[in-house]
Amino acid sequence: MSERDRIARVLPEGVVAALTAQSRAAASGALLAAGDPGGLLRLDGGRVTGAESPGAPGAEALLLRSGRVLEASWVAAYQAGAPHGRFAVELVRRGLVGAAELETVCLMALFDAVFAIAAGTVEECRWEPQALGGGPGPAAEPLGREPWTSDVTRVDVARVHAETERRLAALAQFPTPVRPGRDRLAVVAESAASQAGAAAGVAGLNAGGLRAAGGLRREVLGLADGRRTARDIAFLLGRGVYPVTVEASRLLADGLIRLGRPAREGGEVRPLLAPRHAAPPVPSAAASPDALFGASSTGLSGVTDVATPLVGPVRLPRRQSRVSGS
Amino acid sequence: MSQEALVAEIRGLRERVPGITDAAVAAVDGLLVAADTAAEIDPESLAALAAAGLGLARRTAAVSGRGPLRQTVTHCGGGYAVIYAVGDTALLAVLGDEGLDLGRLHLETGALVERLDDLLCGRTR
Repeated sequence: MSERDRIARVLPEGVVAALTAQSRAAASGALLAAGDPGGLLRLDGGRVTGAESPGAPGAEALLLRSGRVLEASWVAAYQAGAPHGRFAVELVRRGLVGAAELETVCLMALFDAVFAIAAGTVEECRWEPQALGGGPGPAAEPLGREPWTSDVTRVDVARVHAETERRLAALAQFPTPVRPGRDRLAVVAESAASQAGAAAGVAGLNAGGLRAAGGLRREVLGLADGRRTARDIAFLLGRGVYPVTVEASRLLADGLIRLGRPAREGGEVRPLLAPRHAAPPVPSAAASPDALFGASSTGLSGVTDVATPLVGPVRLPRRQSRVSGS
Repeated sequence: MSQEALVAEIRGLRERVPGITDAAVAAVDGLLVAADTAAEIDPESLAALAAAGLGLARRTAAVSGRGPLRQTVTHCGGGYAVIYAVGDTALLAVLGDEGLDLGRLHLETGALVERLDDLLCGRTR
């Protein structure tokens, strides 16, 4: 696999075919894409009204994590509006977010989710037609976590297609495009990164225009701990996964971050406490004090070869002193 | 060494399910056994809280007669904390962000919990 083939350049054929067919039929329902991260696209009358993926922050995450809307206000608006299917209206009515801003955020979340689906792998596509009302029982809720965004956004399939491929193509321009949900990002060297961060900060202070660009760069650098993917950082920041992935690819090209390999240096798995006794995690009541004591001393010697110093809550040696005192 | 196997299992879980940010295996008394956590999360505290939460949930399940406990899910504004029992003596705590797919997590953890149980008990037998 060459470096440039790390990431898809086009929407998976199955997704395109299904979208085109349902759009022509002016169908309503959801297209479920199973894969990693996978996701779904909601259609209403052949137009796309929403897309969600575990690989991209939804409108809620974008608005809450970025601090644009406070959690308490969000919950209040949800309780007031959601039962009547008027959550989006309620958000705007309460002045929590402007109508145009909400539309932009929902649209960004939609394109971002489709980008995340396309940048990952899609194994299977399934069309789930919307259950029509009128049958016994209540009409089925539209699928997904954020069906309320359907009241706000409505775009043509062709535009979703074009926007997604534009994003994929832009990402493919980098020598090594970062895979948003797969590649774990690690800062190359603390010193180099903090210098870059400081430089970005200075530039931001000196020239206000640079602040926004410097901001995301600095934030991505600060959060690249070797465990997080671009997707994880996007959720933490409440930013789209696409801009974060582009910024990460740029940092990678600049040599400021590397693609983290598991089981390397700090920020990784911390095997803090080697089992300190050969007994099960909770020693059975049947274990005699002697057996426990004997086992604990071997367990302790095992801990010393773990890099992390033993600051655990259990200090078994205390038992030793009591034994010697008796 | 079983410690490494444990760590490999919980790290593998994070690789397979998008949205998991941290995971830890602890004994039901709150002692940490292995952790895969970010720098901001104190794994010892997570282990202690998860043990307390699991204990409460187990009692609640017993008192309310709803059958055996499957998992406890704490749903927050910014994500989830999910605790699974591992046998009778241990637990698996998983933290995730808003994007975490709970259904997929439950699917993945079914077999994982059994493997963790084997690993934890295997050392003793």
